[in-house]
Amino acid sequence: MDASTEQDRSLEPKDLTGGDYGFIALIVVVLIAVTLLGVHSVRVALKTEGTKRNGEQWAAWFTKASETRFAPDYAIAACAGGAKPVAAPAAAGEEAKPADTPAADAAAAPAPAAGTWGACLAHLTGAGEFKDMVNPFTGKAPNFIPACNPADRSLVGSIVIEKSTANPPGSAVATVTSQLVDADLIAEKMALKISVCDKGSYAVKVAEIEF
Amino acid sequence: MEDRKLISIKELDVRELLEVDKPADIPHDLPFRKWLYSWMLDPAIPGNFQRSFDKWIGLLIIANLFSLIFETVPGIYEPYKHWFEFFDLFSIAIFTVEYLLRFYLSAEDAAFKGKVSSRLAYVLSPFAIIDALAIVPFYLVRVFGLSIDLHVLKALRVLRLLKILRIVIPAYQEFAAANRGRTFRQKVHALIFDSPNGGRLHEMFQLFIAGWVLISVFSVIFESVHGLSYLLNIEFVILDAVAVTIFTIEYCMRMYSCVEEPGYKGTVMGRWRQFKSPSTVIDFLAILPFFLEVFLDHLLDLRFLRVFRLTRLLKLTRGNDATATLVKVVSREWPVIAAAGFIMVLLVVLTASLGYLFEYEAQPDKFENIPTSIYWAVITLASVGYGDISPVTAPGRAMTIVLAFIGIGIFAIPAALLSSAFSDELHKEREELKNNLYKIMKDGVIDAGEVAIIRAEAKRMHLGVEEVNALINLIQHELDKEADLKSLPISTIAQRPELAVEHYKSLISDIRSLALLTDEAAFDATVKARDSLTASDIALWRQIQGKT
Repeated sequence: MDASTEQDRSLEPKDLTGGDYGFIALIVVVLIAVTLLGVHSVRVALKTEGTKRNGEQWAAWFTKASETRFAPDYAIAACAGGAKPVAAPAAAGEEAKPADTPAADAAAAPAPAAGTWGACLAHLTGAGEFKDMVNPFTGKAPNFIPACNPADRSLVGSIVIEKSTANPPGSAVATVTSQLVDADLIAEKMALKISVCDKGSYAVKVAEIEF
Repeated sequence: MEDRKLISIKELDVRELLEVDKPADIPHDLPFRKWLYSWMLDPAIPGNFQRSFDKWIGLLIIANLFSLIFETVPGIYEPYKHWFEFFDLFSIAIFTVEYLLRFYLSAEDAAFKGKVSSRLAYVLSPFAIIDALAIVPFYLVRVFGLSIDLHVLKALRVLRLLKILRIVIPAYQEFAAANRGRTFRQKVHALIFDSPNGGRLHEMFQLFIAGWVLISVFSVIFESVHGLSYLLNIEFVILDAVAVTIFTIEYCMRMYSCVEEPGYKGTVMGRWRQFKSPSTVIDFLAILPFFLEVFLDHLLDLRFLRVFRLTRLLKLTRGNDATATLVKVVSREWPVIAAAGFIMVLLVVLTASLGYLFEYEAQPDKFENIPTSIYWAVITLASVGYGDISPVTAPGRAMTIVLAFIGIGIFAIPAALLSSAFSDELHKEREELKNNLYKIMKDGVIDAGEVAIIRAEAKRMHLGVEEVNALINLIQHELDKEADLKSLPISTIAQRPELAVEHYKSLISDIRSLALLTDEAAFDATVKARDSLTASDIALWRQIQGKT
């Protein structure tokens, strides 16, 4: 065997060993595992995106409604502006009857007074354009809560609607923000802030709008 | 053989030695096409614009990638639509000029020169097809009015990214040639670790990792901006997942091939040593938050871990010698720094206690306990002085004056120590380099291995052509003098004071070199064991070493 042949053979690529195959297999497994975890992360992030879209839909509706709801012929009477609140059918002091099921509980609850946010919300989520809205995390209708709380994971995908109330001139803080509750009157224009709870139940601000 | 080529130090060209690009030596009287090819595209002519041309085209391709990504985000694309279109036009213009240039100059390219029609051969070559795919869809739609679905058009634009192969494939071929006959693990090692077999592919790999580190760190920073995070939440999640995938694969490759590194031999122990090394710990910390967040998110609120993704920035310190020098300096000066720290702690506790003693009765709400007073003492000692807590009693104020004065000195000690030690370390390294060069050049010639050492040392110490040239001249001068002096008998040198001084300097330099190169502990042990030096000899040795 001459020297050049010997040299050529020494330059041949060496065969893969068992360890090399093991490493390649590990890389393939790692690649698949990390890709799957990445896909999982993206799926969860997409749910947060879905929640944000819910918030944006509400923001868009509020913005649109704020332009038309003070007109006398506004279609959604429950959300119309300028209307005086009408007393609720159930008297304030009347004791609530015990309810066996959540449905019965809901049925037993006094209907919100017209001209309040409660009536408007009931209309919008009951028969209005938000009746089919779904919380992407739970697959059920989204909850309206006072605030997101990272310690309570059951709040993921919920919506927080807050109203800003102006303080008297000269106050240290110009406005106070509080949850928009059912009893709040909506006869006049109000400034609202919409947030949603993300996958960790942290608040994500969606918009500040007028209603 | 190239490796055995010897270069005389008299003919040494430092620019060539350090691989600093010299202006290409291309004759002006060449035919225009050949002249243009030599300047723009010939990879065999050092100092021409070929590498710069490839580099800028590569950067434009990467910019196109980002443009394609951002175009998918309506929140970014819609407001800046015109800028995106302008950038697209600009890219097409550059890629068209590049294509036409390569087409025109293909007649000079050795790969196509011998063919019947060199230009047709070029047009049908794989790289030219890729180049054409990058621009043809644009002209079909904009110039010829062809109706192509927008999604297909976007998919065709992705093909532009394939142009990067024009840079990657030659680097891979160079890598394959340099690693022919080596094992798979050795090849992985050459790709991941600094080694003579890595070549341009290793540099590209490092650049790729550094690029992803920067992308990943910027995405963590921008994620904290609500407006951006709101718009780009999905993009940030995808970027993080891709970054973690890349860093995890890199981590596995590093752990697998580390046993090829000197000092890390051994399948288990070598890898364990590598696992414990600071740079690998950083690599591990760079990927850990992602996995913890995915696996433990339902149990704990691990959002705070996201900030730890910024540790990925530390990955850039790998291979940075300045960081290694700083670590060396801090570990060498650690006892003194610790002593200064101890004095600081002592001073802080003492003054805080006194502050509490003097001020508590006057301001119980501010100096309510010693820990609060410690906060005040540290803020005062460090000359920050927020002013939220300040003394009102006369003894308290007097003590604050003293504290402020002491603070200036106390906080300056560690800074001065570090600065002086850093300067010493650099000086020592430079002396070491000088000694290495001296040894290398003593025989009047240098070989390829010695060239590699000089190149590596110059790179490590960030020395430019002028500095290496000055160092070589100095050594050359000393060598000349030494040659002159060594040829003379000592009695003749002794009779001439100027020669005696030079000879003395040469001897001292020899002793310094000896002190630097010898194992200090072994030297001392031998002296002790054999009792071979007198006390004055030892004292002189220590003095020359700078230890007394």
